[in-house]
Amino acid sequence: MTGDKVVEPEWLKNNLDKPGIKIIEVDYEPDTAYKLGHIPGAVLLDWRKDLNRYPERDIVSPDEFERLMSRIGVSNDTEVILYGDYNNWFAAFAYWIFKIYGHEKVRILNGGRNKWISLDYPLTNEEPSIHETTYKVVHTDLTLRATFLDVLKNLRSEKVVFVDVRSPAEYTGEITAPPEYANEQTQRGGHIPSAINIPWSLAVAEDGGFKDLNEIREIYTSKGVTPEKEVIVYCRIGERAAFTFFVLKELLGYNKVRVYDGSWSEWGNLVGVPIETGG
Amino acid sequence: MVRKIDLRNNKDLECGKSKLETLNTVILNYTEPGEVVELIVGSADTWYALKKLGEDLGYEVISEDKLDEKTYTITIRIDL
Repeated sequence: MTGDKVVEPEWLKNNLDKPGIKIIEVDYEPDTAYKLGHIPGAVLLDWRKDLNRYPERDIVSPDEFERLMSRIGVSNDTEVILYGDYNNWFAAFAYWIFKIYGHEKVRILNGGRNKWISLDYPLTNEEPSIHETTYKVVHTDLTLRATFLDVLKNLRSEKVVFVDVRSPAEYTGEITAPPEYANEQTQRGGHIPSAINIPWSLAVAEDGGFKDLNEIREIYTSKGVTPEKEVIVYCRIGERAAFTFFVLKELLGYNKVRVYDGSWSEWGNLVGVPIETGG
Repeated sequence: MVRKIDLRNNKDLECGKSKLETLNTVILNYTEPGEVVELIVGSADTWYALKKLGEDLGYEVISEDKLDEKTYTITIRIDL
């Protein structure tokens, strides 16, 4: 069981034509994903172009989110199902933005593109017909987001726990970013003081879907990440943190979880803020 | 005997670099024109991409198979 915020592939396969749902593929690299084949009826969101603002380095504004939703045919009462490439990282990031902008009827496809394909479920190159809507953001919840100032002022708080979801080598400071992320290196390696290293992947099963909830819960609680605490999650640029946000907030039901999307690519470059290195 | 190229531990396929560029590099740098090779990848998504990118990257798909959740193979013939 993975809760009501997760859609199982089999359910989706049997409900592709269900009225009122909108399937959205969120890709980091659409050219090797959506554009080669996608779930029938799915529309594309390009993580870089559609969900981020450049050069500001910020998430889309409420106005931009409204225009985006209207363009892809999402209404305020549409039931949105998100999935994507690379372990659903970017689908999870999109999920977090949907929640910030108050869209409650949103779920994630368990296992994303990878699991769907491994099950040999249908894909198509056919572009879906889209009926544009007039979407309105009626509520914005910025309590789901942490800035570096939020991190700074909570560094010594016993009520707040920081979860670093990167790899152990990034956490200890052995590397400032994996070599394949040449654009995301930082001046310093290490982690936010007192942060606990729980890599995002520990919540994922062999088939790419979520592990059993009890197993996931044990992973976090055994390391002191318990439901009564406020949790701030971070990674390097925020997408893996959004994945763990989904796990903690939506699968385990933790009340207060925030994504620090500036993450290590911000903290590791900030002047004058403390860091820790080592395990 | 078909030569095997195991890409399961290729970190460049794990997000960060362009998957398209990475696969193109593999085809260009590690195969010969006319050669038949078996590529082994660890994700269904990359496997699917390889099945669809033959025309763009210059190869013909001969066969493909899923061995388990983490092992997918595709045998291709590189264009002359």
